[in-house]
Amino acid sequence: MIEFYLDRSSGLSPYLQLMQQVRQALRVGLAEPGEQLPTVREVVAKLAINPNTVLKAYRGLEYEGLVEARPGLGTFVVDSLVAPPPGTHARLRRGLRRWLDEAQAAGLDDASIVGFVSSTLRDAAEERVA
Amino acid sequence: MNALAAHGLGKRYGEHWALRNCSLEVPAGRVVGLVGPNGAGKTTLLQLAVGLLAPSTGTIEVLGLAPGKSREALARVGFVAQDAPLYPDFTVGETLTIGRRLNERWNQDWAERRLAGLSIPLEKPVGQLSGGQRAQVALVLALGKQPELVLLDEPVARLDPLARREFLQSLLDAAVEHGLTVVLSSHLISDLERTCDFLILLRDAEVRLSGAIDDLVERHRLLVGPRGRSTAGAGIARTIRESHTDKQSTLLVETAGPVGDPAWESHVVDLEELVLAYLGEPNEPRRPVDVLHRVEARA
Amino acid sequence: MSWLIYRQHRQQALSGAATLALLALFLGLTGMHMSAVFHNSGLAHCLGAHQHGDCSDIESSFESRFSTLRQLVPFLMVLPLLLGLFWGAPLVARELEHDTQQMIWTQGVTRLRWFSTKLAALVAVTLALTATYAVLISWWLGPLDRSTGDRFQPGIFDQQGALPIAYALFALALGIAAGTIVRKTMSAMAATLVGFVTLRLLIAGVVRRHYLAPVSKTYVPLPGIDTSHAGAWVFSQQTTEAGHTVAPFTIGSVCPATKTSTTATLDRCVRAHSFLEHDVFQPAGRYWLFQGIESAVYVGLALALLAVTVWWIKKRIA
Repeated sequence: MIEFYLDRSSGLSPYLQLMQQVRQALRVGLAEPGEQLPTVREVVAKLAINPNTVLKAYRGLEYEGLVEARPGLGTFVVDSLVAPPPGTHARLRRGLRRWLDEAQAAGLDDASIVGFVSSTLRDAAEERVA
Repeated sequence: MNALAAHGLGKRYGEHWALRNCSLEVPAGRVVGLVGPNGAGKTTLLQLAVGLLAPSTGTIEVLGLAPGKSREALARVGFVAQDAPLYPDFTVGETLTIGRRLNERWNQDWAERRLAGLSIPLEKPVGQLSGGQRAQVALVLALGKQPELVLLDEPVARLDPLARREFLQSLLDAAVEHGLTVVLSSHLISDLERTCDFLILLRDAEVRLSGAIDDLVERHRLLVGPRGRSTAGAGIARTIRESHTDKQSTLLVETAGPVGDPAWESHVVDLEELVLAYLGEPNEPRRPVDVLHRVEARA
Repeated sequence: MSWLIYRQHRQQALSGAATLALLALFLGLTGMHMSAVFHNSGLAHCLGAHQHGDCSDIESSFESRFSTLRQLVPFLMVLPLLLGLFWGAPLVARELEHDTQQMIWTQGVTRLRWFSTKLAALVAVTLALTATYAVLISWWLGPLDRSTGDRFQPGIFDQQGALPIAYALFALALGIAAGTIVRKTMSAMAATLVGFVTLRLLIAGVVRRHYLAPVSKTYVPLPGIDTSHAGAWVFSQQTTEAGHTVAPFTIGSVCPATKTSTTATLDRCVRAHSFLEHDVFQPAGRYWLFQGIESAVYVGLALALLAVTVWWIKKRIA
């Protein structure tokens, strides 16, 4: 069973962290389809977080098709995270390389590029939910 | 039905207002953070909500009832006062008996199980418990009568971090178990985003901000742009806090619409930043900002 | 609530019961002894058969025999005050001092129900204890009262009959009111002490004599007429000889009762010198009436204080 944790310094709001941890668990095979996620009550009792946070995270994962809420039983994993096909990886890598060249030409150093990527990821994640 | 509703609520001691112009609506099922500096009026608001104080002006209702006046109101609302006052010469078990004898509904099994789970022995006199254990006993006493709403006045302020975490775990677990509405006051902001989904911010006896946290965060933005740039196209309803360097301006604003002007970078505001900004507002008398009402007015 | 009242106040109740038991033991043993001597010395018989003045020898020997016990009597006046201090003052003050009212008034009973239940229990126990004590002390003082005839005198009047009960109720109400208003046990106890003593002195010293207009009697102090007014509360006695005030013993020296004098000669002597007695007093027959009036005064004050307390709890606290 997945055990959740919260990272205060990550900058991501708690429910996004929970979603991320579920996706990560699926990616590395720590959770598999059919497995039950911890109940809202279990997560709340362990982390002392707001119950709605857990509900939001589970609903978000359900929207992404990764889990399914079964009334009276709990929330269950229904899909594994399939890695994108190899061709996608190569295409994404080429696109990223082009963008990196542009960013470096504009004067951004490595740390600035990483900061840029982090903050844009963050904003995108928040806006996706809003 | 709202768990708590106040209209123009005020409490005065002679010339001094401990709370004024307080109008709030808290939906049921929330975990509400009541935040503000010491002396802002948090204890006053909570005591008005449980009937330990009577209003000087305005009204307050909890679960649709006048606080503290009827057996029903007393049965459906639990309270843990600051520093968890209990009778120190009573044992833990006798403290539970107070709950059992003085309340119509009482779940003795639940109370005993909970204390056993926390390894708090029933025979121990309350005066010999640690601060964290006393807070847990006070919480069990407040929840054992199976209320729908529980109000807590700075329950974790004087606890060490471990005791604080354990108390919040107990509280939120019980909230899920029984579908409680929780109102929790604190002068610490750090646990706020984690535990609460509704915020009431008090400063100088007035409500400065109140609403669901998701809505509040969505309605505010941190705008960064060149110094001297007009804010006309930035979709600002109200600037809460601003700071300037010689080249750059940073504004924490309440938004009225999308940021049209690309010169302004728009960032999501961290809840803690938002609270600090509202706490630092200059001290003017103004209508309290209730984001929910403003949303309704615009719609 | 009854469990809570017992659990919170059991030490106070036990102390009260123990004190009463000790007092009862002491009064019982000494009282029986006094009663026995009262009868065996013939004083009982003498007082029953003769005028008060004729038993003076046996009386003085009886009274001096028990003079130590008599000296203890004034100390008993403190007993009702103790109830006010130790049962009354802490009742509400202790909760407010430690802020536990925030816990106990948010359980399932309203603060008025909490107070009225506690008050009822406290008054019931106080009545039981003080009524027992009042009966005991009145019985104990019986022989001394009859010997001295001082039952109606201030200081003795206060100790017996219904008054210990009334004083106790008043002290209790005063303590409770003080504790509620002042919110601190120690200060409330001080206020109760001052209030109780002041009022007792005021009423016993100044007010009591005016409950009813006293009787003024002017008469010729013939031999055989009782001038001692046993059992009455004598305000003043004045002897005049032909209109001039003289010392009381003057009659005895001017018209002495010698072996050779007869009732008739003494009679003539007294009339010849125009001796007159002018007495102002409350007659012995009014004893219970005065007990009743003073009890009503103190109980009335107690009720007023309790009304103030109820109002204060309802409106003024927090």
